[in-house]
Amino acid sequence: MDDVRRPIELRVPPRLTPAPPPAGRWLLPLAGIILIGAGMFLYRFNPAEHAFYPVCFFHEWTGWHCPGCGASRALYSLVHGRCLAALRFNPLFVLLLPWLAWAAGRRVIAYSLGRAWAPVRMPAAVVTGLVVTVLLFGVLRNLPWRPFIWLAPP
Amino acid sequence: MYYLLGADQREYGPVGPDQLRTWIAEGRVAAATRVRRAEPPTDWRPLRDYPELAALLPPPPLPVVPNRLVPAVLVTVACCLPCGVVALIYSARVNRCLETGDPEGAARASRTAARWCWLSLGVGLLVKGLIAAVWLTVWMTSAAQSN
Repeated sequence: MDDVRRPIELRVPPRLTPAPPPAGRWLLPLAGIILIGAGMFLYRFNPAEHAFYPVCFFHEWTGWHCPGCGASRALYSLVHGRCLAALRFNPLFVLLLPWLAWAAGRRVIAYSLGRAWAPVRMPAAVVTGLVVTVLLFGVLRNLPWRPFIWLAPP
Repeated sequence: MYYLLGADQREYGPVGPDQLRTWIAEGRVAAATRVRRAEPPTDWRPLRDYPELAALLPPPPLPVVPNRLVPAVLVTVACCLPCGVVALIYSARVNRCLETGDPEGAARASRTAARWCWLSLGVGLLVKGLIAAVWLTVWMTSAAQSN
């Protein structure tokens, strides 16, 4: 064998696959544009006054409030800096919004940077609790008595 | 010491395990890379077949089972309430299955939850699109009549 006569300098094998550009690299700017556009649109047009906003057909057909009813009016209040009014329209949505934004933003950022995305592992009790909260909120806000009517949009 | 075939099909080496560890970390060498020993037996085999080298490979990623809770909440709030509720219930089942040591059940629940999320989104967009179309027609008709 001619091992000893090989040059001292170590030859380095090439990388197996040159890193491909991340497939979702347009996602982050796209999400930013959509977010800013939607925010400006919401700022300009009040959902309570304009008919072109998507209506909740559950509310339309049954007259009951679904867990999401009041969410667009809450967002309108939020972009105008009126947090209390936003809470009044849909408290659950406003309280969940930071978590929803964080979870969705994590995923968009991971895709657009080409990083592996892994969901945050939540204890089953937390997930079940959240699901029960959303469903219970949908029921409670339709009760016609005093503490519960504050859960429904005015 | 070992020799290996790089991605360019050229021979590299001889290198020891420490150098191999660096090259694995740099993405130059992987489990399927052909490797032979410097001493007999010197047949070419994939790196993963050498127990002492397979230990250098990074551990395989754990199976990821997303619980789809965020899209389920979003579609419940914004799209189609009944489908979103089904998606919510399945996403609660994902983590319950994971904790009771049933990854297959969790993966199944995750897929079902995802399906209901998409269904909810589709139904929501369809119904809202129809309502918007009706609203637009009514608005244009009334605008035409007032002119």
